[in-house]
Amino acid sequence: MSFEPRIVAFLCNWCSYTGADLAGTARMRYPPNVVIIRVMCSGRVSPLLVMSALKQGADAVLICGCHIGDCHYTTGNWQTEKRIPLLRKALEMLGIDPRRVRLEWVSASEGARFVELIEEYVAEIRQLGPNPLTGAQDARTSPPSL
Amino acid sequence: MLEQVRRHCKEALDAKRLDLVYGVGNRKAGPAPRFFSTAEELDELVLAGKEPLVFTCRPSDRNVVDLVRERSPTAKLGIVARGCDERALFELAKRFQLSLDGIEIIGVACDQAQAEECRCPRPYPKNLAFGTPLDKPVDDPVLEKLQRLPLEERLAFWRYQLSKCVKCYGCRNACPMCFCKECQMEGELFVPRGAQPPEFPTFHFVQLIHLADRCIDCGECERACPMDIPLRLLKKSLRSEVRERFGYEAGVDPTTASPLGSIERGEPSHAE
Repeated sequence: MSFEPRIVAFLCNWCSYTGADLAGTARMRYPPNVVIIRVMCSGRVSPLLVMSALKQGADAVLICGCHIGDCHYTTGNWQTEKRIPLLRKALEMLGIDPRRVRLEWVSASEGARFVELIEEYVAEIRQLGPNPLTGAQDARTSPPSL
Repeated sequence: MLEQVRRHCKEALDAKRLDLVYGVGNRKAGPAPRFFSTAEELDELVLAGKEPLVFTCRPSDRNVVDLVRERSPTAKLGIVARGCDERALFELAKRFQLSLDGIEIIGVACDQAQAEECRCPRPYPKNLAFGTPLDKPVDDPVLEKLQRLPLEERLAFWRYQLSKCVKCYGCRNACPMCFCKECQMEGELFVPRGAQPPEFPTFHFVQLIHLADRCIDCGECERACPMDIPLRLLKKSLRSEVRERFGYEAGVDPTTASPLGSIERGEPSHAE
């Protein structure tokens, strides 16, 4: 059976979730690989939540918020924009491909863009393969040294 | 240089410019942080030892300097600080964990050998009083090797290293920047109770993320670790990422606020 990625998407209530909703009400089709979690603001998405999702079997995590300047809480997405690149760096240093975490801005009117984004991201993660954090692995078998 | 520092502190104590000096004292068991209140005591002052002077006391979760300040609020306190000590003081002051009022930082630069032993990127304080700062930063050969590894090998490396963890919380307890009253490394939300070794990599990831803009790169976590896990490597790389992205280095400057906890110029709610 071919690999089907599972993507957890954190969408902010005010823009991105409404954008995804627009895609739904407009009957636009997008891959069913994405599990949407609605949060009040993309700034609420702690790096620890992203790690939790990756640990619990997500192959990738997508975080969507309002465009810069459009945040319902004025500065929420500015914090997200600063935080997520650091998270990606931390993942990279741990040996997890940083492409597994992605931050995008999707506004309430961008239903079509949301569909495009999901299609593109699912294709990218399908190429990347399953998340190495899931699946049992014995740590003690190969002790690499520096 | 040691004699100069001792003389400076003695003079300050005699002239009542300072009431207390905090520094490393030589004890039978080895060098350890202590307070000096008389000129005679200062003969025991040394510039050795790697442990930072500034640490969090348990179980009050208060910083040692803050506790002393509370007990004697009017005392003028001199701290014989290396680069790492001063970074801890600055960063804690910025985060409202202690006040620098009435504190004189007697800055001492570390020499090449000390800096190399600590793999210290900045072995000198801003308030430099004694010694000459190293002009060339010390490289971290281990970190460079880690950065050259391909992703899969890096993951295997950490899988092995972090599997050694005995969950003693030594890295957190030793960290001068870990001052949270409630620690998410203990919370059940991200760290399942009873898992041994702790879940990879969540347990260590919690501390790593929390210290991203706080870590002063003193190396205490690594020194405290009984299992020799190179905990500092991850924090070090995140610290340099913060520096490259935001031009911010924790503890280097006493007034600049962290970009992660503040609104910067140009951001929407920034008031001119």
